[in-house]
Amino acid sequence: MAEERKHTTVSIPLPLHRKIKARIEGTGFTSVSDYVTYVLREVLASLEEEEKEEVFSEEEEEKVKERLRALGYLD
Amino acid sequence: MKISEQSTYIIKISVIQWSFMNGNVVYIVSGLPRSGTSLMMKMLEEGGVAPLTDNIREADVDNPKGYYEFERVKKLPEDTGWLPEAKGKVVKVLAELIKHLPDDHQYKIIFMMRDIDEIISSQKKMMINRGEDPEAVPESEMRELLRTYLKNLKIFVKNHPKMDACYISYNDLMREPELSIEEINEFFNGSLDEGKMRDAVDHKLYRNRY
Repeated sequence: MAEERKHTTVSIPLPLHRKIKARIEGTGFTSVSDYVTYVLREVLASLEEEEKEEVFSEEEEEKVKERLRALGYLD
Repeated sequence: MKISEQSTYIIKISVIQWSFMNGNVVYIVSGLPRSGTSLMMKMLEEGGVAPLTDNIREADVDNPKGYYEFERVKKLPEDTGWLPEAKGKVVKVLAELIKHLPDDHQYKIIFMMRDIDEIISSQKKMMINRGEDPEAVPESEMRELLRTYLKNLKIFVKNHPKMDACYISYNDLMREPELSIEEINEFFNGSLDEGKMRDAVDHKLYRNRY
């Protein structure tokens, strides 16, 4: 059975590739691909975190509404 | 984005595009008070979209160019009878009230964002002018409340099947109006007069407003 493919190719502009190559010199990253994978995982995790609704109690909501009433934007 | 989410997104965009082509869309300008919603209403009016207003709330020291409000909006969710009249026009709906817009229309929303500290500072000034106590909730607490409030509202809009939003930073608009105007025009399928919109941006007003 053929081994399942675990990686694919993504194109990035050459100047960006050069920039990343220079940046990872002397760090623990052994290739541009490793660095790009790391950065993308971080970005996605951060986006997923941003998309989670935060708890907003009724009391907190009322404070915002009271502010809007005081400004004349809500009856 | 998961496949199912992608499909939902594509269907949502297709329905909104179809509605747009059939003049079935209600354009909304939304945001927190003092985030530039009145300015955006004026810009869109200049750009060629008729505003739905009643001019009941008159211009004052806090909004010298007018509020562009439509009082019946404040009666949401009880009063939705004005919505057919709003088709093809732009109406200002406060952030709090977009949650109450009924599902039987399509909405394209320009949502104004602005540096939270500037919003608070400007609201404070306005509350003083109105004889209200701006310190009723401490500033640091209000900053956090508004931050969370906006974040949750953006998630609500994103997940709403009938809403499509374009987030415009008031600060970016003041810095580089052309870029924001281009983005807004794209959101309106290129139907706006960008030059007239640019002329509606008043930097003097920005400097004086907080």
